[in-house]
Amino acid sequence: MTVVASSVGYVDRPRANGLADVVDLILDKGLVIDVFLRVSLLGLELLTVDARIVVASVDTYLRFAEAVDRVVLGPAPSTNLQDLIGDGMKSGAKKSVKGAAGGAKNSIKDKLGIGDDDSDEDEDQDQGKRSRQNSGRRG
Amino acid sequence: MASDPRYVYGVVPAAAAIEPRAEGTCTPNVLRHRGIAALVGAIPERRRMREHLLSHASLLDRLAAAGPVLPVRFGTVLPSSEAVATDFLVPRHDAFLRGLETLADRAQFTIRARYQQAEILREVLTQDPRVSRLREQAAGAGEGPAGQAARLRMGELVAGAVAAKREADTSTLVTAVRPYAIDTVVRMSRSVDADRVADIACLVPRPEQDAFVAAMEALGARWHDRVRLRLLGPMAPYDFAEGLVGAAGLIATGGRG
Repeated sequence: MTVVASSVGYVDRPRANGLADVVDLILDKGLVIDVFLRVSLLGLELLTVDARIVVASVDTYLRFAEAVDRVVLGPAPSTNLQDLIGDGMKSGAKKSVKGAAGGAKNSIKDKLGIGDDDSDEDEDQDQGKRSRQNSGRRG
Repeated sequence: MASDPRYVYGVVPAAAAIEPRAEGTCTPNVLRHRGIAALVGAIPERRRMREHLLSHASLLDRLAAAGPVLPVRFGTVLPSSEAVATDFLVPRHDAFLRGLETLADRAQFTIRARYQQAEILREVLTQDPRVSRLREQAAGAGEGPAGQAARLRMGELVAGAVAAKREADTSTLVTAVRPYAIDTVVRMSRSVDADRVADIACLVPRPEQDAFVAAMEALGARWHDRVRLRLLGPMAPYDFAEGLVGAAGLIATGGRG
């Protein structure tokens, strides 16, 4: 999938959303039709993703310790250092999120044969806190 | 009479519903009832589910660019066209119509924030003297239990500090979008050891959209070393549809936008 980032500025603004983006954007979102009316959800395991807290564990703390060990204080990090720490954290993090609580979205992603776009985990998050506010007053 | 299952994409105002052109694997038809219309189609082939997911989203996003649309949850199939009319459109007609009116000239954007891990760890190290003390201690103590204890304690402090940053940074993000979004859905990451900070879905009126994007750019620039922002949209209101037609009718229909 092509992700054409904005060439100006610091915000990544893909012109076309990749599959991983779309899965996160549309799965479990939108109008829900009462289960008694619905014929199926196309056989996919579209379970409600439970908000599951990834509990910090000894493993987590040791990984953080390891990562902090590698931090070099001083001027801006080199790309290599960032990759090193990033890889360390990613591989560590991946180990911790296996198991039943991988969640429905991960099983759907498996079925669709896609990985995460930016390789971070699909942890469950706070179930959307809405904040109601008036439309902004400007100027 | 014959079984005629219909895949349901979404709901649009009846006046706006001309037969939309196909999108990928989606060939939507229009099913009208009074002021509203459902977009329905054939059930996609199971082996083309990946394509269908993309097509489904593309279709809804394309329609949303042209006018209000209430997305239906992906994968929803009703037993027949009659069921779509009788069991879906008829009983919820007024709520759908109100929801669509509320969506006029408004689009969803989703902003995703991710940490630059190295920089965040550097912040923690420099901001909490206990962490650097423990780092020295651990380095000096070697692999034995003393070193292990120091490492564990350091890791625990760092985990706590990162969690606190996540909350503070999510709050900063919400503050940044608030002037432009009439509604938001905030999903802050609860995981302690990944890069996600938060995803925030924002419903932004058209007149505010340029300023909203500029504000995200400004934040992205300020945060560049420590947080990367990814802005998706304008898109169909996936995060807001259910709230708009639910019993509470969460968004005020008055106000600007």
